[in-house]
Amino acid sequence: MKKTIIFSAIIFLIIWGISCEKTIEIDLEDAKIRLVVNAEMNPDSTIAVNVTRSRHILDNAAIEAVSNATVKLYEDDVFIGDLVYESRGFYKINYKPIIGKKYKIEVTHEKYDDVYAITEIPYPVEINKIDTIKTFSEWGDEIYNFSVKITDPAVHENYYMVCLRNRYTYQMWDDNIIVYDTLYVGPDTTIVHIEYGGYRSAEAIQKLWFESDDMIIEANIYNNNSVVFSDELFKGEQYALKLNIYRYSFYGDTNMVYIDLYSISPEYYKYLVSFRKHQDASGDPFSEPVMVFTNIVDGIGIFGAAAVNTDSIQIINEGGYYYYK
Amino acid sequence: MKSIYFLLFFSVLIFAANITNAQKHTISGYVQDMRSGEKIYSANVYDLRTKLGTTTNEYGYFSLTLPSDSIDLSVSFVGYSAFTTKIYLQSDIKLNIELDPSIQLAEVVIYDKKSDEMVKSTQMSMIEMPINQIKALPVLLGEADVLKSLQLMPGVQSGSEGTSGLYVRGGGPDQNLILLDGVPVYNASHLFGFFSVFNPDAISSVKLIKGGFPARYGGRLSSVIDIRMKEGNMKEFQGEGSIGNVSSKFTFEGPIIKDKSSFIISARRTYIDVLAAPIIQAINNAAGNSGKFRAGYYFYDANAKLNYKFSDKDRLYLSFYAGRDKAYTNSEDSYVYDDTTNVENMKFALLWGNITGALRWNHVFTKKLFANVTVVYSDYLFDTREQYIQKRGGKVTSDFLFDYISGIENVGGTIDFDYNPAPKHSIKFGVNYLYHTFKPGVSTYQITEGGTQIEQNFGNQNIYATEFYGYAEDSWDISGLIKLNFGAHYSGFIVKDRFYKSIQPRASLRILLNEKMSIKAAYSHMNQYIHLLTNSTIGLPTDLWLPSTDSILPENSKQAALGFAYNINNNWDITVEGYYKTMDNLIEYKEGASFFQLSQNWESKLETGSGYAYGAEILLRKNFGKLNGWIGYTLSWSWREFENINFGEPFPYKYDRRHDISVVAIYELNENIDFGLTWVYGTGNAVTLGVARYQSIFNFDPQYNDYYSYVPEIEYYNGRNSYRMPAYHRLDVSANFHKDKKWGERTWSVGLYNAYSRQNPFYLYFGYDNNKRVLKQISLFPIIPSVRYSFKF
Repeated sequence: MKKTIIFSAIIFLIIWGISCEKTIEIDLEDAKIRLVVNAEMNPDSTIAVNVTRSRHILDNAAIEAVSNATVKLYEDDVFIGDLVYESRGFYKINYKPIIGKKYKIEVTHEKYDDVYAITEIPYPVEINKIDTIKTFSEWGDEIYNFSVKITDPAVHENYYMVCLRNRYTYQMWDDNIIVYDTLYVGPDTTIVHIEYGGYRSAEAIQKLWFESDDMIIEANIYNNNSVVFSDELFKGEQYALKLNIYRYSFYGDTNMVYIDLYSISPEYYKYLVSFRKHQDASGDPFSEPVMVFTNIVDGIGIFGAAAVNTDSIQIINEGGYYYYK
Repeated sequence: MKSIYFLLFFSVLIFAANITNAQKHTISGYVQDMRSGEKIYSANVYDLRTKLGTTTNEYGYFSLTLPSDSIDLSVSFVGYSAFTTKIYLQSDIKLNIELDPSIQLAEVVIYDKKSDEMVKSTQMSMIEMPINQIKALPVLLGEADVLKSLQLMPGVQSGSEGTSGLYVRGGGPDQNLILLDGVPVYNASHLFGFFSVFNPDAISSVKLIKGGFPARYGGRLSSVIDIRMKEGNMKEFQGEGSIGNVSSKFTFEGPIIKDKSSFIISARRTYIDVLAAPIIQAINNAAGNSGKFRAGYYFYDANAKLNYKFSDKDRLYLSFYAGRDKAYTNSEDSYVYDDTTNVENMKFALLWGNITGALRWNHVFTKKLFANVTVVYSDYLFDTREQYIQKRGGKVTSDFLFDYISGIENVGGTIDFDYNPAPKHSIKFGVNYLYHTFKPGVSTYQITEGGTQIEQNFGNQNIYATEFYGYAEDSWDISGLIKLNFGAHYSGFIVKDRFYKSIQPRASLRILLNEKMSIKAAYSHMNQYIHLLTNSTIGLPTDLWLPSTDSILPENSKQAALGFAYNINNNWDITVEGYYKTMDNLIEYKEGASFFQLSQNWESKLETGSGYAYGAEILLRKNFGKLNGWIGYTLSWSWREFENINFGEPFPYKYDRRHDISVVAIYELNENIDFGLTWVYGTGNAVTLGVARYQSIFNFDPQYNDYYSYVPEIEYYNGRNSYRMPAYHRLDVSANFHKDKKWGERTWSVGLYNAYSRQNPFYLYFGYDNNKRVLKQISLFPIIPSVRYSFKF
C-alpha cells in the first residue's frame, strides 16, 4: 500500500508541478431530471417505496423527496393498491410480499416521466451448519473464523447477501436506579450514602462488523455491512462460506451472533455489486468510472427483493476470552 | 490441415515465379551512402525503359532480374543525387552503388521520392519519416522524439497531452509492434510516457505501417513501427552532440577498418536530478530537518552498433540498446542515545527500462537469394524498492526491504529470405521464434533483525511461452498497371500446454490509373498473443505485458483499406485512404478494478470484448523547396463492446477522435536559418462524466421513516465515454541557427511548445468554487520554451 501511495505521490508531484487548473463550462445534453425509486421488499415487512428525484450534477441542493406521486403496486399483474405517502419520500402499503410472486410498481408524477419496475421475491435458502475456529492475525488479534455451510438450490441462478448481527448483554447506566450504601452505623447515627443512577444488565442487537476474503465474494458492501455473491461457482452444490470476525468487533459479555442469509433478486445483486465498484472507482484517476445498475425503467434506482433465513451461534466472554457455545 | 494449405500456397508461389524466368539476367548489389558507407534502406532501383524496378531491403540489398537487353538503370533515394547508368545486360551483374548525399538541402530535406514510390508501390497506409525531418520539428522541451513525430501523421493519434503513446486506426498503444533493429521493444517510454526511448541521433530510419501489412510482419493488431539504428560511418570518424533543457547527448561513429568495419555509440542522460540535488537538500534543511535527504529522477539510454563486412556476400551486425528510468528518495537521520549513534535510513526507488540486443548476419546465397539471420534478446524490467535500515553504533540492527519486480524477457531468432526469381516477382519468406518469460509481478519482503533474516515472496509466478511464425509473400507485377502483394503469415503460441495458432491472409493491390495516379486496396488479418494490462491514461511503467492463457484468448483483427495516391507534380502529392477494422478478444480491466489491485490473480480482473474502427485519412505533402511540410486530416470512429462493461452496450474508445488535423511546415530562410511550425487539432478525448446525482438505497430504514446516518449518493452516467472533453489544439514553433565552424558545425535551436499557451484538458473533475459545484479541468503544459545547442564534427 505504501508503495502505491509513494508512487502516486511522485506522479502527482510531476503533474502538479507543471499543471494548471481552470473551471470549464459543462454542456450536458442528457441531464434530464428523473424519478429515483428505491425499495427492498422482503416477505417479513410491509412494502415501502422511497421516491426522490435526481439532481443535475452541478446542483448542490439536498436530496429532494417527491411527495405527490402516484405509486401503484401489482402482484402477478393483479392490482393490489396505491401506496400512501408518509414522509421523506416514503410511500407505504400495509401489505407483505409473498415468496415466489412477481411485483410491479408504477410511479407517476406530473413533472417527470412515468417509471415502472418489476421484481420477484426469491426463495430463502437454509443455512446447513455453522463451524467456528479461532485464529490469530499477524498482529496477534484474535479472529473467529466462521464457516457457514449452505446448499444452493439447483433450479435457478441464485444470488446471496450475508449480514451478521450481534445480540449482546451489557451493563447499562440507568438514572432510575437508586443505590443505598450504609456507611456508618453508630449508637444514634446511621450514615447512608444514596446514589441516583446505576448499572443494570441490558440487551441490544447491532450489526456485526466482519470480513471475508472467500473467493466467491463478489463485493463487500460496507454501507450495510454485508457481502454479496452468486452461485456461479457452486451451482446446486454445498458450499462453506468463510467469514472472519475480529474479537474487538464484539460488545458486552454474552454474544449471540445471527447469520442472516438473504436470497436476493438478480437486479438487486447487480445493483449492489455495481454500487460497490462505483464507490471504488470514484475519485481514483486510474480507474474508469462505473455505472450503477438500475431496473427502474425510464427512471433510476433499484426495486429489489430479498428473503432471509437466519441461524445463530452463541459466543461467551469468560475471563477475558470468548468461547463458543 | 491449414498447415498443408500454407505449404501448398507457398509452393505455388515459388512455381509461379519460376515459370516466367527465361532469357533474363540479374543485377544485384548494395546501395550505400557515398560519404558514410551507411546502407540505404528502401532506395529505388529502376529500369527506365521497361519500367521494372525494385527497392533495397532493410540491409540496402537489391536484386533485379530483367530481360537481356540494354537498360537505363536509375537508383534514387530521399535527399541523394539520383544515380543513372546505361548497361547492356547479357550476363548477371553485381553492382554496388554509392549515392551522393551532397544535394541535401541543409537539415530540412523532406521526403523526396522522385520516382513516385508512393504512387507505384503496392504498400499503402505506410509512412516513412526521414530522421532529419524528425529532428527539425518543434517539440516539447526540445527533445526530438521519433514516436511523437509519427503522431503528426493522419491515422495516428496521440494519447494524453505530451505523451508518446500511439493510437493507430482506433487501436490501443499495446497493438503497435515497435522494432528496434528487428527486436521488439516493450514499454517504449521514458518519464511516464513523456518521451520515447529512441535517441534520434542513433537512428537512421523510421517506418510506420498502419494497414495492408505485408506477410512478413505479425504479432500485433494495429501497426508496425520499424526503427533502424545507424550502422556507423565506414569512411571517417564523425561526432555529434547536444545540450538541452532536459538532456544532453553524444554520438560518435567511425570506421574500425575502413570500408570493412565500423561502429557507432550514442548516449543521452537527463540531469535535472544533479542540478536539483543541492536545492532539495537546502529545502530540507530550511524545513528544520537536520538529516540528509536526496530525491530525484533521471533517465538515460545508450545505443551501440558494430558491423563487419567479411565480403560482398557476408556481413555481421551487432547492435545493443539499454535504457533506464529511475525516481528515488533517500533520507538519513541520526541521533545520539546512550552515547551511541543511531542512524535511520529510508530509501525508496522506482526504476524501469529495457535492454535489447541483436546479432545479425546477412548472406547473399545467389544473386537472387538474400538471407538475413537475426538472434535477438530483450528484457523489460520494472522494480519498486523500499528499504528501511536502522543502525546502532555502526551495526545494522534492523533492515526491512520490500521489493516488487515485474517485466518481460524475450530471446529468439529470425531467418528471412529475399528471393527475386523474375522481374515481375519479388518473394520474401522466413521463420521466427521467440521465447517469452512473463514476470507478472512478484513482491519480496525481507526482514533482518538481530542477525536473523526472514524472506517472503508472494505474487504471480513467471509464465513461459513460445511464439513462432512463418510467412511467405510475393510482390507480383501482374501487368504494368496492376501489381499485387499477397501472402500469408502463420503463427503459433504455446503457453501452459495450450497451443494457439492462426493463419493470416494478407493482400495489397495497386492499380495504376496513369503515371501519377493509383488506386490501392488491402486486406490483412493480424493476430496478437500478448496483451498489455493498463488503465492509466499515461504510459506508466507498471503497465504489464501478459500472455494469452486459457481464459484470455489471443487478440485478432481484420482490416480492409482502400486508397488513392496522386503525385500532383514532383513536389506535391496527396493520399486519401479509408479503412474498416474489427478487433476481437481485446482486454480491459473489469469495472472498478485498478492496476493498484493487481497483486495476484490478474486473469480474474479482466474482461474480454471486441472493438471496431473506421475512418478516412487525407495527407497532402509538399516534399521539398524552401517551404515544405504537410497537412494531415483524419476522420475516424473507434468503438469497444464488452459484455460486462457499460451493460453490454458499445461505447466509444477513450481515444475515439472524430477529427484530427495536423499542419507541419518547415521554412528554410537561408543556409543558416530555418524555422519549424506544427499545429495540431483534435476532438476532445471521450470520458465518462456524471450528468446527475441521486440517492442510493443504503442507510435509511423504511420502518422508522427516517434516515439514521449518511445516505451515500450515486453519480449517474449516460454511458461509458459518453462525454467529450474540450477540443485539443496546440501550436509549436522552432528556429534553428546553423553556423560552420573550423571544427565542424554548430546549431542553436530555440522553440516554443504550446506557443499560444492553450489550456488543453488533461483531466476533468467536479470541484467547488465559492461553495458552488463546478466542473474543473486540469491542464498540463502551458507555453514551454526550450533551447538546445548542438554540434557536429
